[in-house]
Amino acid sequence: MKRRNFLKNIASTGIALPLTMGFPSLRAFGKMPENSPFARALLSSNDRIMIMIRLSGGNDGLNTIIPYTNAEYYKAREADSLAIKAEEVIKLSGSSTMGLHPKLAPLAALWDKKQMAIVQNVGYPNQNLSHFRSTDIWLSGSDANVFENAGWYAKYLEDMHPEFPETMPSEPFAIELGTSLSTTLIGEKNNMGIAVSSLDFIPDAPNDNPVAQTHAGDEELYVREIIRQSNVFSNAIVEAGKKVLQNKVTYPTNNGLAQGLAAIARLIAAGMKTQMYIINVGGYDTHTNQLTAQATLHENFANAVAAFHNDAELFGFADKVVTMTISEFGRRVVSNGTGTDHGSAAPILVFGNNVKGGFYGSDPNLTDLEGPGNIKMQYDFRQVYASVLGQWYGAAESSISPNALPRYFEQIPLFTSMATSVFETNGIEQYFSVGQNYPNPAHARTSIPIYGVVSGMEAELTIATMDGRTIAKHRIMPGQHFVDISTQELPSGNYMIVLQSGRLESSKIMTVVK
Amino acid sequence: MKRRSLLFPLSQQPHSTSKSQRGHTDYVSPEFAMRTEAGLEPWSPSGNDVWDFAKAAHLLRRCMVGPTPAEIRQAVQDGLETTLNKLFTSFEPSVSDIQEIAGQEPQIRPASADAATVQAWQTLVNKHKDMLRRWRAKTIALSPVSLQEKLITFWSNHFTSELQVVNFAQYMYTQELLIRTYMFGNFHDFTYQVTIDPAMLIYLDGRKNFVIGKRNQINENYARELMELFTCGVYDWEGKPNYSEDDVAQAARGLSGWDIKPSDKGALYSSLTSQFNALRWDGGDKTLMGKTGKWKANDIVDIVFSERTNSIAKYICVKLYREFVYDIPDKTIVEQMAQTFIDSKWNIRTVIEQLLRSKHFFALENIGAKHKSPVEFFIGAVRGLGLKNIVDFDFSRVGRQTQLLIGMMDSQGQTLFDPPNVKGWEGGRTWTSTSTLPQRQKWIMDIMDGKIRSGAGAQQQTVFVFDAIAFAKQFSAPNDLKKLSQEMAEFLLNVPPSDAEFTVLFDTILDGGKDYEWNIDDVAQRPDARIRKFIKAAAELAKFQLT
Repeated sequence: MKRRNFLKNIASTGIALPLTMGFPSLRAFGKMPENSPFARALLSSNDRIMIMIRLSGGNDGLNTIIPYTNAEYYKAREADSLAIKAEEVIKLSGSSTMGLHPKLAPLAALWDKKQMAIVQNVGYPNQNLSHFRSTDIWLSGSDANVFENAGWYAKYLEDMHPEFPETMPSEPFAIELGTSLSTTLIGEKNNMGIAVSSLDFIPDAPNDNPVAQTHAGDEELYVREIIRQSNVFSNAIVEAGKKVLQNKVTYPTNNGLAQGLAAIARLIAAGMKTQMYIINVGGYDTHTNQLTAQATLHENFANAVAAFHNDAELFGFADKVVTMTISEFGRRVVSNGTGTDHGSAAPILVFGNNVKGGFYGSDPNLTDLEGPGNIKMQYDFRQVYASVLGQWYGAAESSISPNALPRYFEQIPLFTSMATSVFETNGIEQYFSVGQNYPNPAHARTSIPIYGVVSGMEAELTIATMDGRTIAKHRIMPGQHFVDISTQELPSGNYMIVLQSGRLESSKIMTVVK
Repeated sequence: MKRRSLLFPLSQQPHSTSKSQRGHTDYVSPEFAMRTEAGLEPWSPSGNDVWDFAKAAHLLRRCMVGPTPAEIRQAVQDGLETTLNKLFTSFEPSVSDIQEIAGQEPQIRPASADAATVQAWQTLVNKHKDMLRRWRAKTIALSPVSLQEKLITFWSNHFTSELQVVNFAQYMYTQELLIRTYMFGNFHDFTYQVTIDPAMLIYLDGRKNFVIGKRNQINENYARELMELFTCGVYDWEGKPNYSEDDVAQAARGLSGWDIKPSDKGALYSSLTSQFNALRWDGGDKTLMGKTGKWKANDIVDIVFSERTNSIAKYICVKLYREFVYDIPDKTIVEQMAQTFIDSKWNIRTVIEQLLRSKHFFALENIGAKHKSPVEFFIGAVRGLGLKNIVDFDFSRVGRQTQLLIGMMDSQGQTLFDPPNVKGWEGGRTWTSTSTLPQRQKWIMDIMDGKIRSGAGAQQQTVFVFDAIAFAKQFSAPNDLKKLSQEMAEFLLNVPPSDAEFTVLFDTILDGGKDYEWNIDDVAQRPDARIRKFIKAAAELAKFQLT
């Protein structure tokens, strides 16, 4: 990540808001000396990583997070032996109604540590029951009636990096494990991520000769861009791969997801700056033979994800990584014999140290159904994406909508903290950071997450105007995780939140709207 | 690609890759682009526009996998009409390598609890899958000049089935026979036959779609894909849905009752034919697309064809256009093709032949614009470069040896008989990625360096053996280095290289020597090594990925 890109990002988020709010510009900040704590803290940020796991085919949510006390569930599925017996369900603390499929048992430890969030009944209005159409909707972030070729995360990246591809970063923004890119990483103008499978050959850079004005000429330019990206990025990945050859835990074998996550863990441990990884697991289209097929899928999934988060902990990057599932739809409440047909809303699972563990939303309602007998949505999947961009990646609302997403989506408070500053203590990476305030924009009150202020440290949180004028200071006690502040007295606009302790700084931009 | 962006000289927009990746054109009105005014009227020579190597290569590349230099030169000599006649001639591939599966009933999973018995059965099933994939690759590689193998690939990517789901190679072979029977024929009949094809009944659960008395197990899987992917598509071009969710449910009821006939050989085997069993059929009234009756599978297919005629014709012609011309179809041309398709009462040959004969097909703007699929890249290289010693084609190694050719296609996302899902391979730009392209370049380099080896110890041998001299001697003037280089470049690349590219290629083959010293039979000139270097340099160009 180049320094000037960061300044550009800050400028673009800062300028966009004042124009609409009549707040004095960011000009002062733009001139701020580069050694100011504000500038330094921001320049060192952006090391947050997400791994998106696609469960392709439409995962049956009801046999994933199971409503084991709901008679309707058993009525709909018991006759075909498709219901999971209540005594087999893994119970979850904090719920007396919903539990895990028995094969998901390895995830229970993450749940107990509050590192697993279950967002219930996620879907979108006018659910499309075609795999392919619905996958496009999920991967792009579009509305059901809009045909969009570019994806939400790629559009966010394009907005953040207008200099790309004329200026290439040294490492790819995003990596998809596989032979081709999914829409999520395909932008309006460019591919914003790269597809990777094996890396034993690095192509030479392409030539820049003019091409013919034919369709073949258009395609040749496309191929050259792929060659160029391979040339630059493959090198970076190969180099990273050489640095860390071994995982810290043993991953299950015969498990493609586990092997993919193991490779990703090594790249992260090697210091790759890539912030988004996508990995695809197929086989969830269980029209028939669901009981056995889904059990195997769940078992592989749970073992892989549990191993990855253990590995992350041992490598020391657990605070800066989250994993999240998506699937194009859930499945029909009533079984069709040995399986289930296409459905609509289903849960999303999110894992990680900085995930605010627990249930979001209410238990699926199995009597008030839509269409051919499908669960109604409670959360739009784009609310989850907005939360990822806003809370995890620290994106301002102006770059979330109507840019990455077609319009405003209310965020769900899924993430507790963002690690923005890294320092070395006895060789162990630790994280000291201030998280994005929630809600943001703030109206009367807002809560600011604090992370990494450990025993023996003294820290101070400063709220300042964008030109560096201090408005308030708060002393942070070791172990303190939140500061609640009143924004009642503050005029609309952007503010800096800076957490400092000795040589460590971390900062965020907070927006106040009246 | 939006029409607008074509108005600017592309050479001035080095990164104007517009929509980075296409696809999904079949949901609603596809994305259209137009480069040439040339229409479907038959092409004929006029002035400078003659039947030459470029045109013959274009036709053969669209209709075959990896035409050789000799075949292209023969097509130049034969002329368009004779070449088209050859292309529309089917052939019967040899099945001597696959006697164990061709027309044979598969053995079903033994009920025995004995692990060794089950294991032996599993090994046999896997061996048959391996055998079928090898046979398919070999058949493509040994194909005469014919459209057959390209069309089988096309239709099996339309009416998809996955071997890993169907499990028995015997069924996939039977399905391939069905495709071969109908590939040039009547699309309506073809669709019905696919609907009751055993592999399809397994793949999309048709055999599990039934009602017996009060036991209702209507399964929507095939009904949905019949409309969404196999015939009319979700929407028409005006964005109007072609069917509702209720139509899916109603069609599923009508399609019920089909399963696979028990084998005459007893319960250990499964037959290769399907049967209709009235006891499993939902005999009630169904209303599909406004038509009510006690419909059966053939009625369901008939109703879709009669009620969605235009949508079906356009949907299929978009796919044909993308297969034979370019990823982004030309709207007017597709509409005209669709009309031809309807007027011909769904005759596949008529609509393809009209396109292949047309000025539109041969327009300069439409030549060389396709990304090579793994089959085209890898089997195409085996066939086009005349590579020898392909371990995959050695059937004595079935079930035991690494599949080097099939394995390469597999690692590029195209496992023969196993598309990623029921929609099949997306094709186009998805084939060229930061994942696939480096592997492709490396493979060509390794072949030219004779570095791909198979076997262990004393058994180890070079595979994918390339004979550079024999390759070069297929061109018109193997002793004229400049002419040979031009012709080899034209053969290896989608369109002729730019002057700057040609300079690099020619310097490579000159290799510090003088062109007048070149003699292909003079070993001292190292012609073999220099031709290999030339091909490696050509393979590094973006144009090598296109066809």
